[in-house]
This record gives sequence, structure tokens and C-alpha cells, in this order.
Amino acid sequence: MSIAKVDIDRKLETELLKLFMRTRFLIVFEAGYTLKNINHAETEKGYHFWFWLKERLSDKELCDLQFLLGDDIKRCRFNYLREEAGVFGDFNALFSKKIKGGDKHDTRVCSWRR
Amino acid sequence: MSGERTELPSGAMVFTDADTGEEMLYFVRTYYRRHDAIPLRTPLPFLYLRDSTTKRFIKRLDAMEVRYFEEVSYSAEEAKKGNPLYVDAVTKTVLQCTYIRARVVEDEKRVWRVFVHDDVKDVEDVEDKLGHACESVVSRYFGHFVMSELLEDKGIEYGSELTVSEKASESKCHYVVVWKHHEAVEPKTEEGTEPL
Repeated sequence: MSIAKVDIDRKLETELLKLFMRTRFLIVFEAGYTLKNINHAETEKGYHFWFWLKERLSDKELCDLQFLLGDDIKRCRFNYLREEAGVFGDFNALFSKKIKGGDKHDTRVCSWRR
Repeated sequence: MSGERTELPSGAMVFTDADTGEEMLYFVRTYYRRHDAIPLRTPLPFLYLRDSTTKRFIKRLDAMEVRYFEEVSYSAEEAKKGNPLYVDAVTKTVLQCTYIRARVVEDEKRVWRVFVHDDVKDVEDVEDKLGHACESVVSRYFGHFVMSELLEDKGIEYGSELTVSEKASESKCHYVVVWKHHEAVEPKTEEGTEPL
């Protein structure tokens, strides 16, 4: 089993979100894989998606599939570099908490609930 | 539902599992005597993996992984001497949430239960330490210039799948650094452990 991780940097309306997930199913089907489950979580700028696949994919296949599923293009670019370096498994990350910039005190946390 | 850590009014914490999209729920349960509310035993920590939609528990976890990422990238135009570079660095450690039963034989009649590494509640401190360790590692390879001027992206994720074997969060973490000059033939990778 493999899990493809996709980062979408855009907020979607409810109907569009549903259509987006239905079309991802078609993409996975066309790519020849079996989709078992989709998890998603809303972030500050968009969504994180986890696509659970029945088959066990290689790093290259996972990179390709994440690209086809509409992953952030900058993330895709680096994922291909990481796949070349053989460290894709360590760096196929979806940040739970993103810290921007060089100042470690400049922390933007995606909507805390206390 | 936001994809990050959430602290609930009861003191429990919910982490989004970056490996699967499910949730990791951490809470501490205290048992009280009914008639006078005196605690019956030391509070027990629990860490459960649960479905993000139905909130049903999937399985109990003994530990979770915290990973701190830093990414540096600059193009040929931005780079000095026109030599583009990208750097990926991650430091990771494991936070345990288990208790073990240990027998301490004093008078051969007493059995003690002891707790080992209830570290999940200290996750903020651990994140800070991982951040410092990661900056230290990247600075060692590329100097402070890379960190202060060109740091593009950094973030934290929590994972239910353990990729490192170190158990004690207060002692050390595992790091991976990979760098590649875009024109170079092969990227380079270094791994190791760093004290926290």
C-alpha cells in the first residue's frame, strides 16, 4: 500500500472540493492504480490530501502520481530532485505547522484552537 | 478542521498525522475515588490513532515522531558565482507515550508501576530543540550565510510511522541533509545523530 500526498494552495467551495476529489479518483484510475481512501485536512491557504492506494509504488511512480493529482508545482519540482537523490521517502512532507522565513520567531500557525 | 496540532479545553491534544491524514489523540486519564475524589493512581497517558472523519479509534500508539524540516534553494541568478544550490534538511525524534510495569523488590511484597517518557506533552520544547539542532547541522555544512539570507521554507510535521530508532527525546535526534547543485551530476546526502 502507498499513500500519495498532495498540497493544494487554494481554498475551494464545497461543491468544487467534491468535484476535485471525484476527478482525482478518475486520475488514479487512469494511471492504473486502485484508490482505497482519501483523507483531507484544511490548512491556512488550502488543503492537504492523502490518497491511499492499494498498490505499492516506487518513489518515481509516487512522484509522477502526485504531480498528476495536481500537487503544488514547486513541491513537485523538489520531490523530483529528492527522488534523484534517493531521499524522497524522508522528504515527502506535508507540514503540520509551517514556519516561514529566516526568523524562527516569525511563526505562522494554521489557526490554533485552544 | 485545520491540518496542525489542536489543544482541547480538557488538556488533550490532537495532531494531524502527516503520514496518513488521520489524527493522533493524546490525553491523560486520571482515576478518582468516587466518594471523595481522591486520585486512585498516577495519571495514565494515552496516544491513539483515530479516523479523522468518524473519530473512531484505530489503534493505540506507543510513540509518535516529530520532524523539523528546512529547505534552502536559490537559482543561478541569485547565487554567488552563478552556482545554484538546493538544500534539504530534516531532524526527527520520537516522543514516547507508554508506561511499563517494573518490579522493584524491596521487601519482596511490593510491585511498582513506573512511567517511561511521557514526552508528548512537551512537544513544543522538543520542536524548539529540533529547530536549533537543524540550524546547527545546516550551518555546519553551509555556513550561517545560507541560513539567514536564503532560508525559504521550514515546517514541522507529526507522524505515526516511526523512521528513527532513538527513543529518548531529551538526548538526541536523527538528521538527514541532502544538497545538490543543479548543474552537478549527483546530489550528496549525509545522515547522523545530533544532540538535543
